[in-house]
Order: sequence, then structure tokens, then C-alpha cells
Amino acid sequence: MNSVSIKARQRFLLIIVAIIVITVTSGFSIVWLQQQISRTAQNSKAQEANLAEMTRKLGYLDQQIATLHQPVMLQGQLTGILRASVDEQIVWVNERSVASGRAYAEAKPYQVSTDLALLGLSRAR
Amino acid sequence: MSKAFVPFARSWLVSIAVAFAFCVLLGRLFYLHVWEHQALLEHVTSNRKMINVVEARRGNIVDSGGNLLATTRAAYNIGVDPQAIRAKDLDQLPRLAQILDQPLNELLNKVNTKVRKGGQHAKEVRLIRWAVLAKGLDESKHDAILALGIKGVYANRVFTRSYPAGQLAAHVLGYVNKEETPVTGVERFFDYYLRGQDGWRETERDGNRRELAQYREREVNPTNGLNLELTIDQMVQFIVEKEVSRLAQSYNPKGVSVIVSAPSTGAILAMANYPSYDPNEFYNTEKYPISNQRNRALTDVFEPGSTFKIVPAAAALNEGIVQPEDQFKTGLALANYKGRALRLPSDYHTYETLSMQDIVVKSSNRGAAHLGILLGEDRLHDYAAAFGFGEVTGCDLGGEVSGTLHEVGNWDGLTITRLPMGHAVSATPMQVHTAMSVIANKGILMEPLLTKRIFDSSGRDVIRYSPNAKRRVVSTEVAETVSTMLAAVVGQEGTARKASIENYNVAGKTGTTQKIVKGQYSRRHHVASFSGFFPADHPELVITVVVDEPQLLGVGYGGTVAAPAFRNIAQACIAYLGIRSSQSNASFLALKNFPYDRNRRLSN
Repeated sequence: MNSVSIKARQRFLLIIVAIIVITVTSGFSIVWLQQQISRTAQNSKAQEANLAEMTRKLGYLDQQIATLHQPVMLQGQLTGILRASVDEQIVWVNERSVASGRAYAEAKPYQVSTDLALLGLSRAR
Repeated sequence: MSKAFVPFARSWLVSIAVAFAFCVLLGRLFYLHVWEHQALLEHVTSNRKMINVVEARRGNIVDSGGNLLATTRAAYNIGVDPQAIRAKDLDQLPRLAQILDQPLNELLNKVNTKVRKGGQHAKEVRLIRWAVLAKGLDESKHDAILALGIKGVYANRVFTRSYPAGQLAAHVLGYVNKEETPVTGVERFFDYYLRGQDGWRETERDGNRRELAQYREREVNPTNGLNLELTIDQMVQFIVEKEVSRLAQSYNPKGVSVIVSAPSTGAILAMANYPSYDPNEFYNTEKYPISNQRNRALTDVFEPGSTFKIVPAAAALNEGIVQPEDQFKTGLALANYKGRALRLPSDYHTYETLSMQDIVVKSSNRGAAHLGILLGEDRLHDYAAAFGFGEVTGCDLGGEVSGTLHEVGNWDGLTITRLPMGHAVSATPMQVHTAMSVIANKGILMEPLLTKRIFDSSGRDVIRYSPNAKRRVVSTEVAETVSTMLAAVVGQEGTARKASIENYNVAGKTGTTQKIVKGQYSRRHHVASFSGFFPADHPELVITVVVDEPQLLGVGYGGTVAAPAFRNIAQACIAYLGIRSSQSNASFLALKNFPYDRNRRLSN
């Protein structure tokens, strides 16, 4: 009867210890999980702030680009730099009437010249 | 074992006291957790919970080429907490002053002033925790200030509307004031689409009022505003505003309005007024008085004068009661109408007889009066209304006025002779412009089109606007006939020689009207106008120039003041838009025979 009693006491003690260990571990786990959640939330918040900052800076750049691309700014950059063109730089084309109206050129599908096709025949072998 | 001696009464007294104390405690617990549970829970929740509004970004406004005309940017208000400044931060103050573009003394004064008194006789002083250093700084300056690492220097971010183009298209765009209320222009008229919708977050905060992101309960993303694409072309607008500046410098007028549009669609490529303002500085009423914000093209009326003569001319031709070669006795000062002799208006040059075509070419007031008499009151009024006079054009800017076209019942005896020459009627520059566009567009009146589309941040169309033909006013043949007459106006015999462009057929009509000052027509106050289009046979642009009270020696004629401005704008637009001439052998490119022969892939 004493051995039964000792075994029972030991098991009882073991169960108590196990309960305590599990409870404490669970408690710490919950705290750890909450910390992780909090850390992730703070990271997300930081990423949101980064994204908002990038968006703001992109908008600022767009605005700067738009300001620099104003006609008055572009003209100011060209003043004194561009010179008048000379005759040799200008390619003159004649306007002619085509089916669609008046045009300077008419785009046609590429066709291989027959000269090119006959080129190989004239070569001595 | 022996029991300790405890008197019965004392032990009961102590027990009762302890029990009473515990009962009080339990009672208090019951009161807090049960009786006042709801109220206290609400109090705690309200302290903990907070709702953050996430602002939506207002949409951008772009021109027809996608160039940014209006956008939203972050602006930073920089301030300092004088209590938090450290000794080592003082070394950075000169650099800070440089960034802020402020004198160092001024900055030091703000940093070193740590207390302020409530009033002159107040006894207590208060610590200054925030002193403004600068407002409205951009991102680059904000980053530069942050990089200095000065403790105590903070920035508050606000979002503000920015117009990168400055004064360009100011009257079209309008502006948004500091209360984020759109005041005028496209900003106001399309606010519903541009504004967007704010989002919010339900979350909790800690004791320092910082958000605890892990306790976010609900998050609604903001819907950013939609973007607007206008029909305005930035470069054409620049060309027009440059010419408006030249007119302002040359003639010091009271006002100038210029409108450029494509006649086939009614799309407005440019609309400019003088005086103007910078929407970025709308608050600076010393530099830009409030009156400068008026879009004179839509709000100011004037008697159109001779530009109105296209109405009786087109009406008479459309009714089939005259032909271009019909002759009129314009040398006579009186005409018979409904049994009464009416005194006809005088002409600058009096001709004995003029053909119907020459009435338009020479801008004869008497000739126009004859046309009006032939039409009669009802038809003249109806055609004037059909051309758009007396009603708003429908431009998408708001604030437009309809001008005045009196009902026939309100006409006096002379109106039948005065209306055809453009008196007894008032119109806005836009109405004159759209009337001329009828002739350019083969007799069809188009509604002015200012907005091309509304699109989202991905570029997808949300709403697409199409040209809207309001009605047919005259037949295509009549429009072509009138166009030929108007081309002659710009010829050597006409009143608008200064509007002619080499190698291009230009058609148009000048107008020079005396303004009514103190109830009488004034010889010293005029409105000079020119409205025309080119190339005459296939019109690509309609341009209207109206100059209010140009200051020059003599009369400010439309042919002298407004017609050259038309030509300058037209020539610049020809080069920019690549508008081809009507004459195939005299285009602005093909002028020479050149021996260079391209390869056979492209046939020349």
C-alpha cells in the first residue's frame, strides 16, 4: 500500500509539474506571439510609411519634370544654342497626289528588287 | 497543545471589521464591473480607440499630350521647439538658415525665444513649444533639413495643389484654395471626379497617442481622385499666351481674350485672357487682383460689331433671297421698311453700290442693314439665335453668361438696321468664336469641347467625351460661299489684310465696335476683334482674338490690332501642328525640285 501511495504521489506530482510547465510555457508563447504580431504590425506600418513617402517623392518628381518641360523653360534652354539651319541640311521632297490625298511619300510593302534576284546569276562560278 | 486565549467579543469585532472591509471591496468591484460596466467600458474604449482618416489624393489634370497641368504635392511647414534645441545643434543653424533662405539672425531669434507672455500686463509666462520657421517647403528642402539632424526642428506635412505650368491656362484650370475648396475653372467644374474619397482606419493608441498597428480592426482604403485630360494643347496655349502678352505690352488694353479650337470637333486647343494670374499664388491679391481670375472669354460681353455680319450674310444666302453677285445701293442713307423710312448706319467708306459679297468684304454697315431688312425681324432674330447668340455655348467651365439677344417684341424701330452690323446685341468672345466655327464647320454649330476623357491611375478611361453637334445652322453650300467671302476679307481688297498668311487661304472677319460709356457710344473706347479660320477650304483651326480698349493713336481697328495677332498665332500653329497649305505646289515644305531620289521602298 505504501508503494501504491508513493507511485500515486509521484504521478500526481508529475502531473502538477507538467501542468505548471505547460501553463508557463503557453503563457510565454502567447506573449511571444503577441510580440511577433506587434512587430509585424509595426513593420507593416513602417512599410506603409515608406510607400507613402515613395509615392510623395514620385509625385514631386513628376511635378519637377512637368515644370522643366514647360514650353517657356524648353525655349529658354534652346536660346543661343540652336542656330538657323543651312540649305545642305534640308532634304526637300516633292508633294504629289496619291490615292489617299496629297502626300510626300507613300508606304508600300517591301518588295525585293529583281536586280537583287538576278545578282547571283551574273557571277562567274 | 493549548489554545491561545482570544476574547470572544474582540475576535468577532475584528472578524466583522475585516468582513466589512472585504464587503466594501466587493461592493466596489460590483459597482465598477457590473453597475457602471457599460459607461466605464465606453470611456476606456474611447480613450483607446481612434479613427485615422487616410486622405485621398486629388486627381491630376493633363493636357491633350499628357503634360501635367495640375497635381497634388506635399508641402512642409517647418517649425522649431526652442526647448529641445541642444548646444551642438546651434552649429547647424547657419546651414538651416541657408536652406530656408532666411537671415541667420532671424532664425537665431526664433530659436532663442523660449518664453512668451500672455499680454503686456500678464504676470505668467508660457513656454514656447512651437515656432514656425517656414511654410510650404518642398520635398528636397525637407529632406535637406532632416539630414541636418537638428533636434527640435519638426515638419508638419500638408498636401497642396500645385500648377507646374504657372500662369499657363490659369483661367481654364482654376485653383483649389487652402480650405481644399475648388474655386473656379476645371478644378471646380469637375471636382466630383477629381476629389476622390478618403479612407479610414479603426485602430487603437497607446498612452503617448501613437497607433498600435496590431489592433487595427477595420481598414478602408482611400479612393484616389480620377484624372482629367483636357483638349488644351500646352504648346498652343503657350503660343497664344505669348501673343496675348505681346498685345498687352503693345496696347495696354483693359482686357484680351483669345480662343483657338478645332472646328470639326469643337475641341478647344487654347483659351487665354489678359490680365491673368498664377493659380499657385491665388492668395496674393496684391500681385493678382481678384478681378484677374475672371475668364473674360466666357464672362465678359461686348457688341460683336462687324464679326456679326456673317449672320445676316449666311441667313440671306440660306433663305435664298440673295446671291453673292446681287447689287445693293449702299450710297443711300435711308431705306424703306414696313412703310417707314429708316436712317441707315454710316460706313467708314461710302460706296454707291456694293455686291452682296462686297458687303462682307468691305464690311459695309449699310449693306448689312439691307440684308437685315430683306430678312425681316423674325428671320434675323432666329438666325442670330441659331448661330448661338443669346444662349450659353455649353463650355465646361461654368460661370458662362449668355449675352443678350433681345426678343423681337423688345426691338425698337432701328434694331432691324443695327443688329446686322453687330449692335443691339452683346456676346462673349466664346459666342463669337463658335459662330465663326459654324462657317468653318460646313454650317454645323458644335458645342465647345474642353475635356477629352476622365481616366484612372492605370490610364483606363472612365468617361470619354465626344464632340457634340448642337444643330445645323446653314447648309454646307452656304457655309462654303460665306467662307469664300471671308477669304476675300483677308485678301488685298478686304479689311483684314494683316491676317493673311503666305501660301495659306485664310478666312475671317474683323470687328471694331465703339463701347458704350455713360449711356453713349464713345469714340475713344473700342473693342477690336478678329475671328477667322484656315485653311479656308479645309479648316483646321478657328482663332478668335478680342482686345478690349487697345491704347493707340487713333481708333483700335480689328484689322490693325487683332488681325496681326491672329496671323502670329496661326503661323506658330502651322509650324507646331504641321498644318498643310491648300496649294499643293506651295506648301511650307515642298518648294523645290531636288535631284535626290529615295530608294524604291518609299515612292516619292
